[in-house]
Amino acid sequence: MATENIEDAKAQMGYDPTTNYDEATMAQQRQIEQEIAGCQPLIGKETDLKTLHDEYSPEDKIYQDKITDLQRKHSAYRRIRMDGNCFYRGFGFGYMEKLLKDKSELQRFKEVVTTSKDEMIKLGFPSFTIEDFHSNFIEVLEKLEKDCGVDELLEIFNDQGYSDYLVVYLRLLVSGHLQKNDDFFMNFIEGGRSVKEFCAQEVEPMGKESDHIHITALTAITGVPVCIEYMDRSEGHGVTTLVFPDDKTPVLTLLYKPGHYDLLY
Amino acid sequence: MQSQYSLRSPAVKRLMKEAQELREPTEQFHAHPLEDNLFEWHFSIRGPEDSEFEGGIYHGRILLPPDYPMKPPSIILLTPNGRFDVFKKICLSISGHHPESWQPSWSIRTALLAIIGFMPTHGNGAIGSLDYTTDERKRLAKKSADLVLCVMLILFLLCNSDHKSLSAQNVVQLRIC
Repeated sequence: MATENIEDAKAQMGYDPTTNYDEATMAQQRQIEQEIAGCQPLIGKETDLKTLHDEYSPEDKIYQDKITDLQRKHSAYRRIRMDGNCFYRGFGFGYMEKLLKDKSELQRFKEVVTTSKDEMIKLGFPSFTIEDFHSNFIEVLEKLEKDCGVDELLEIFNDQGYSDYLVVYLRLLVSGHLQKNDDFFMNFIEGGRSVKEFCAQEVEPMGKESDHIHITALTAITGVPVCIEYMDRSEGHGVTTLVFPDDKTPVLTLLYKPGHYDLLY
Repeated sequence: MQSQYSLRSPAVKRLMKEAQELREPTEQFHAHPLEDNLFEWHFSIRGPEDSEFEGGIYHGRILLPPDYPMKPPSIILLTPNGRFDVFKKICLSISGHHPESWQPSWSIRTALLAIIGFMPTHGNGAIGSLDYTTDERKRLAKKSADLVLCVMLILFLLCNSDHKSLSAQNVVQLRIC
């Protein structure tokens, strides 16, 4: 009797055990992605920080105060598309924008990227595909060496194909760094997973969001210190500032709002 | 093939490289894109040795999404094998059913090796997985190899005789062998 009731309930809810719901879930996921893509570029225009006040209700004192605090140190920001890749994409664009004006830093970084490929292959990454992402990344760095301006860089980062290829390489760098130093990073991984499993589940797949461990790894492997301004509902009138690693002067700053990163100027 | 695609598209560049890399069949598999569509591939895999699939040759299709390799391929087997349902997308963490765990550094090669590797494992009721007996799987493996021989024989006869001498009746006889 009890089983029959469950079957009745399933039927009422429109559940059909012979249907493959994965397909429907994926189709819906894709539709949501397309809707977001339609209204938000991957990297937005540089916008005055005061417009951020309009995003929150005037009565929302916590956020309004924190934005005011943010304005003491920063004047503008760029929105990054909320697709789970915002940290990597924001970091990539923000840093390469700096490289446009700093050719010696560009040479240092190119050297880092060049040697990273062999390191990853040594760690057991598949050389055929690593080579593909690596050569695309180097191609963009070579564009920066020539007369590439901010507009062209913006165009590169807003071309989904190109842009995602850059994100993949940054994800691979993080994965490689975590795996190479797994003795250390295993202490920060929850759920009894190995570093390799963590990388397969939380680093390499596209759309997986970034936490402290990802930021620590990316700033270490690239040698690019980053400042993150944390703006959330916690008590206090100001944003919380963290620098990775904390003894260095940051090259770029990202704004963190729960679940998302934008770029600050 | 090159002219109809945008070479700027990383998916196109990547698939052309993969087609180049996989152009020679390996011991375990052979895969190639359709002549007029880089986003649809056909493949044959060999059943793994020391398993009930040994000796079997299984065909299938691979459908690539436009944003490959950011999103996973879908893999469909066409030859009855007793482990995976045919004409249905295969449910593996590496295929289109689990986009959240696909890694862009994987490739068609990785996906096919995974399918071969998963054949002797238990399906655990995953969508599209079958739980046939060992004997039934062995019978299907033999049948799949016979089918390949038949197709090769037909092609051989078609190529080496004038078409009229190979009557429709002969073809039918060959097909039931």
